[in-house]
Amino acid sequence: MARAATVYTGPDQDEPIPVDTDATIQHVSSRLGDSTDLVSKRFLAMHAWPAGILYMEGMIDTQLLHQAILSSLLRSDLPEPKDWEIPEDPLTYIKNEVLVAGDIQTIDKLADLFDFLLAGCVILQLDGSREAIAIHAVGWEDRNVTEPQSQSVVRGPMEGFTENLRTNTTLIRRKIRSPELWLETMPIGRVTKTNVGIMYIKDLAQEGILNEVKRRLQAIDIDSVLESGYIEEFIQDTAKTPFPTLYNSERPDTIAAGLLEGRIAILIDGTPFVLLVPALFNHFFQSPEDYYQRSDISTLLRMIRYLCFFIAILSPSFYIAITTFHQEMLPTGLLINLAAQREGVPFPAFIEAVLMELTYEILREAGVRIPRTVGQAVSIVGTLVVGQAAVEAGVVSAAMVIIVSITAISSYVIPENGMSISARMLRFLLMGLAGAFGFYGVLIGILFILVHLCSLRSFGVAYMSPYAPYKSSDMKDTLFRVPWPFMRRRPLSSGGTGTQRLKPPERQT
Amino acid sequence: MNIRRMITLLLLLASLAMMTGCWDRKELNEIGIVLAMAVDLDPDKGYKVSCQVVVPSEVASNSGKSTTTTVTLVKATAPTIHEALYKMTLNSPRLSYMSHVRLLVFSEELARKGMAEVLEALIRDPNFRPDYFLTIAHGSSAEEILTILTPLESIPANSLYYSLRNSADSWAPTVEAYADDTVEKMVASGVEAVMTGIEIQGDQITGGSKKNLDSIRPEASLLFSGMAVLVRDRLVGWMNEEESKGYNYIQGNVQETVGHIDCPYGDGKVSLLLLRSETRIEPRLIDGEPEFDVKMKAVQTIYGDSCKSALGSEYAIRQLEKDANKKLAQIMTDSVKAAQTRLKADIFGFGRTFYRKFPTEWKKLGVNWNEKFTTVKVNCIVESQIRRIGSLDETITKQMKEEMPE
Repeated sequence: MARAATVYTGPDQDEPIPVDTDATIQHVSSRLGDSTDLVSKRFLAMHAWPAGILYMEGMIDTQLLHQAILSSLLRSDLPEPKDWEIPEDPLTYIKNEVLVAGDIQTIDKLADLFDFLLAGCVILQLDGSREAIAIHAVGWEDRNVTEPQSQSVVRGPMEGFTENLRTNTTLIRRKIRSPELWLETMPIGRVTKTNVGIMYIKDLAQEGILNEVKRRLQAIDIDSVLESGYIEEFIQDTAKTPFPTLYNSERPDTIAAGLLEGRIAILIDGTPFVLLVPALFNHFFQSPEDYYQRSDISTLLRMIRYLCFFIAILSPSFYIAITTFHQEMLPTGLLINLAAQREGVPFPAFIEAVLMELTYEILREAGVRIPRTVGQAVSIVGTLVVGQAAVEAGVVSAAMVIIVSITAISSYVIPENGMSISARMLRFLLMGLAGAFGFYGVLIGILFILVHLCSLRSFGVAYMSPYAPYKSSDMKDTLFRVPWPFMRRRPLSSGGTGTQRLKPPERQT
Repeated sequence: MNIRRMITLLLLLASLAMMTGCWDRKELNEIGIVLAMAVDLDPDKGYKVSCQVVVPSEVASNSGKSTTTTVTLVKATAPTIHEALYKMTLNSPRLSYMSHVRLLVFSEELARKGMAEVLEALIRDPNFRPDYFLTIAHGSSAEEILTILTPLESIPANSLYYSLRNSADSWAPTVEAYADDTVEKMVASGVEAVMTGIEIQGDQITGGSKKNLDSIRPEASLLFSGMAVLVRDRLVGWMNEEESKGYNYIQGNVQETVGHIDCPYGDGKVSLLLLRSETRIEPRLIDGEPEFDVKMKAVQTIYGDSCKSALGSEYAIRQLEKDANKKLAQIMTDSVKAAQTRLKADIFGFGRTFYRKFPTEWKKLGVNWNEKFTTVKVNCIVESQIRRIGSLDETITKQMKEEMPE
């Protein structure tokens, strides 16, 4: 119980707003610890009523404040108060007749006052009133809609989501101009009160999955949500897997396509990464570009991506297994060549492989963190150390460098980062098995991974579908990408209702 | 509590993986890759086994300076093959790795006494892949064959391997005797095995040092010569080049080869390239006695002509075809004759084809087949076509003569 008491809950829910404006300002200011970005201002509204406004500097549109709020409240061309009828309720009068700003709400609780204030509203209170009004005047500095950093394409839309929830929903709505596109929003996070939107297309999304998504989101009880990763870990089916069971993208076209398949998007304010559920194994190998290019090249690229996934997972372990256990499997010429390269290498192949893979992971991690200005220096050192010097010094064999490079490059072919991360992790597991048991171990490892994959669910949908359980009608968008005119039905296995996408072909009579 | 138990369990499992010690593990730089093996008979101690082991750093193209030869020889003498193989660790830092053996050389002495014991040991051992060639050293010990350095292909075993394959395909008098096929032939009734012989030409002392590769004309070189004929697992004799060629024709082993025929009129030779051939052995039963037709179909091209007759005419070509048929039939008949009279071994598998067609008669006739084979009648029928005459029409000799004013 003592522990529960320390959890931050915010201001008392039912505490009313003080009648005296000065008291309100005083209260808010002290509640915010005299934060310097709180701006309070006393003035005579309509030349008649003493009033006060409160807002957080930087969170509101100052132009809007001046033009739409202050200038109408302090209009100089107004008739003298005695000339016109004094309204009974000045606050309602101001709200309905004076202010030209659009979204105005009346509040009477201090808790609400803080909510609106910190969401970027201007709070106006008239002296002696138990109520205040919150005027929506949000306007803070935003990043522009730019090309997404991850998942870039050669052909296709170049816009990416931003950190602003509203911008993001707009980007999607602009693509799907249908009244069926529904959006529900809920705040999550006791402290951050982050807006989380659930977007789906009514009739295409499965009711059950939608309810499950809502249920899981509502069950989240955390004080802060800063990125979609927070939500992801709360609502995923199981944490005990290296594979991602939620898809994320910063591309509006990807999300729109997902919605049109009947999947559900979860948008989180403050991050350009939008979640898409359910996410199946197959989805992680689909690039948005697949659908914009000709189907034949898309199919070829799909297959290359699957191949690369296997290369990324298996190539070091295959190398270890072959060179330390199964030398008979190599053609004689290649064996002698490899043996010559390994001549004088002081480590067993397994240690050599682990060392090189670790070195690569270090370089990669450093590459992400390093300030751009020194990045080049580090990459030169990296290439020289890992590539040339290590081989020339005879510490590692040249073949190992080839293996590490092809592994590294292959892991970036997978369009979604989450899947390449799982490939990177599983690689080490399989390397260990290969080092201890050879191909026998690798095979056992693959078997375990396969069984695990088949047992996974993403929001109740089998992760490996449509491969297992096999669904032949959904195979049109898996290893292959058939031309659009043949994609008659939406995929059933990705959680949608599997309705017609194209007009059914006319019967030949 | 549960998590702690899980972690303990995982740690225990992980240590289990370490405990195994990877018993089967051999690093590439801990094994000596054996590419050829020679077996000699040692009168007192059993077998003398020599292995040609690759020195990888010498073979790899980019490893600058070369200090030693590309291969080295490791040998040991012991009562059995495997004892000898493991005894080799006495004078080699690396364990012999036998999966890549490409060539096995028997000494002639051993071959005459029987190779079954050696082959049994090698085929039973799963570390050997039975796709190496079997050969017999001709005129030297088996070990000496492995001590000659070869130009062009830096590993002698590879040199022999490729040379044997190429010559079997395109010159014909050698034979690719894979270990498994050969053992199968040794075991089967109605067919006997053959192998190719290897001999050393030149000075074999220099042949083993790098000096051998210093001159354009190597001091010593290896050469495939003739074909060893076996009865069961024992060497009974040799066939010369022409007879071996006949053997390969009958077996249909020939991919491409060159031969010649004498001119129909006067002296001179026509050389012919055999483009493809197909041979069928057809057994017949005549009056309770087996008889065999060897039917060969071949397509040939003229590759050289020094005859006086005109080539241009259809008639001349048909004439040449007839001569070529006669010549090819002669080669095959000679080969059969040699097998029947001199060697008394049915290396052609006549018995086996007969058995396949007349299984019931074989029960009676198959007894002591090799003896019966010596008197069996074999007809060689060749049907060859000359499809092309090459890039020239009349021969150059003829064209010159026409322009002479006489």
